[in-house]
Amino acid sequence: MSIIETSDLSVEFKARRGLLGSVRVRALENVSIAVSRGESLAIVGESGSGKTTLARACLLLVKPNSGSILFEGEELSVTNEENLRGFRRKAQAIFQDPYSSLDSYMTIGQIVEEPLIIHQTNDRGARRLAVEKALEEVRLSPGSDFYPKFPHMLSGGQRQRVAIARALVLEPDLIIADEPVSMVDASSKAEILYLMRELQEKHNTAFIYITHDIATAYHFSDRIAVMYAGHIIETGPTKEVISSPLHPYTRALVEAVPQPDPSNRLRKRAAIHGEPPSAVTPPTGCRFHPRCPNAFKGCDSNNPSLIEIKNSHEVACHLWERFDTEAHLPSTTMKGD
Amino acid sequence: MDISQPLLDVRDLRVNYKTPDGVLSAVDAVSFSVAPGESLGIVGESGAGKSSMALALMRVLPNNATLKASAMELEGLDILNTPENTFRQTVRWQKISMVFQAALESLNPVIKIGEQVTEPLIVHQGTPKNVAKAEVLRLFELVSLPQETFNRYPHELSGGLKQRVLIAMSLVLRPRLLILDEPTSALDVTIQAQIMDQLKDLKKDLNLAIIFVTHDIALASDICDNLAVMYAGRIVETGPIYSILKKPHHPYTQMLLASMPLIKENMKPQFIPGDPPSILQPPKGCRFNPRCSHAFEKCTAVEPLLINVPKHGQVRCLLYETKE
Repeated sequence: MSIIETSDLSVEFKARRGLLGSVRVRALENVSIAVSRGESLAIVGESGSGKTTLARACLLLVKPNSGSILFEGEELSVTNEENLRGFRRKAQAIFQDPYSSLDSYMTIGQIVEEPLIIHQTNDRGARRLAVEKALEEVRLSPGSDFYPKFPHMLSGGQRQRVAIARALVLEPDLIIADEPVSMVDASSKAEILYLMRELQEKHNTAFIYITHDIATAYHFSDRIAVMYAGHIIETGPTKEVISSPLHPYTRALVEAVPQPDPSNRLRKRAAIHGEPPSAVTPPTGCRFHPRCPNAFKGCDSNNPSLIEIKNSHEVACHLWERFDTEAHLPSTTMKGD
Repeated sequence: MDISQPLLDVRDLRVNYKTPDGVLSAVDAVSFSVAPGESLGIVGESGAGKSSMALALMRVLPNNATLKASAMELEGLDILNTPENTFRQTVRWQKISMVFQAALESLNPVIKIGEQVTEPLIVHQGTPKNVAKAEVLRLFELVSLPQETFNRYPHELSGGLKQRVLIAMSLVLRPRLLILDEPTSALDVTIQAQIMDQLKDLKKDLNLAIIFVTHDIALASDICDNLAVMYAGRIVETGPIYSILKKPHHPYTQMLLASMPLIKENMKPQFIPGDPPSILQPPKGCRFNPRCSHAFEKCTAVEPLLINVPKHGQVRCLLYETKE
């Protein structure tokens, strides 16, 4: 059973336009994801793709306009706030910026202990033990040494580990991490990602990893969902999606990852032209068609929906629709028409 | 290698910051040179001193900083001791220009793009307005900016377009050397790829020398001919990009490369244990020794010199000193 399952989730924001007017911004349109216990799903996309909105909607930090969120089989979007205490304990978040997500006037011990107080673990001794255990788990050991320190005394990597300890201390069933390593130094990124992976496996937690970095998603997730302009455009097992991407956008994302190779400077990257679309006036049809090297007639009028090509590898692209019912698969070197 | 005169030659550059906690040595005896049309990558983690070094070359360090060097020469002319007035009138922006880190929001929001980009031409060189406009439109074409950008305001442009405006702006007085400080770190990967392609074209078309400052060694390989790897204010390895990527010598360079998550290859990324050192109190001996898996006794006592490695470059590590 999935820990969390969304179906056809849509989120709209009102943005101010001028002095009095406002416009609707569709941040998320009909997004369905499911994550099981012990599984990690990477949500990859560029800025404005809706990945953070999806994370916030899953944590009920923004209210979806339509669609449903099932958490351990229970519908969340109709539950009122008072009944959500259990959910707020079982679902935890790790945020991007470890400099602003930790209160600088609280000690590390207080920061990690706070969720326990909120969720009414009244035994002071038990709280202290739980905090030190969580700190040891994220390799801030001995935990008692870090307990009285303040955030400014720690490096960026250490702070992010405090944020992980704070998420772990309630032994959640679901952890959602929004760009947890984008502000950590290059040489320490992998350390944090290994740590999260290890803890997730040890505690059998469901894990959603939100990132713009498809290369780290490649190494640290089981499944991946690629987002573009509020839609999931491709999803499936991570290795499969990245080694043989079906959607032209996924292909471009993979191509755009810089690799250390001295012959790079002698050739150009196959960069796709243009910029991500505005969420206020998204293109008609497939949201990617104005930038797509493979676009053909019809891409500008119908928005494709996700179809399964093989072993739960799904893509939303008109190029693949005609192959839907046929037994053979087209070669991965895609041709336009 | 070319024996002709380098465009920029820097010897023993030092940048110190006075802080309430003492003097902080951000750049410590760094030497390098850049030939005309060459691009040098400065790679390092936060706190390595790479941005301070870039600011020092432009002589735009903050007030609490001191800049020292035994030589800092551009086309054979001393640019360290020239009076600020002369430097401003003849060097900064005209010979050396820079695209600053996180500068996307530094454009003036209430002045049209065209006015902001033509301003240096009009002010510095007294170019008539219409000539300046033609020149800027030519530059826009060079950096693939649509002509109508000239009459736009900054808020109407996306991040990628703003970065192109800043690149055009840095080129307006036709400098010989362009310093780029993390020019793509605020951009999405598909836009980053576009900008890197653009920079490759510029380098070729204008025979522009480039100093490319980045934390991303893979991105540096996109454009740099030579690489200098910095750690805690010092260059620890330098040489042609080919040798450094194919056979990194310094343990830090090796581990930095191994920490890159490669796509398409199943090699799992590694990490360097520990944190970058405090520059206020750098470790004794080799500054990398507390995090180095090859460290031996001498590493904690003696700071290695930058030594020549034949057919490679230079490396600052005791492992190679003993083999000489």
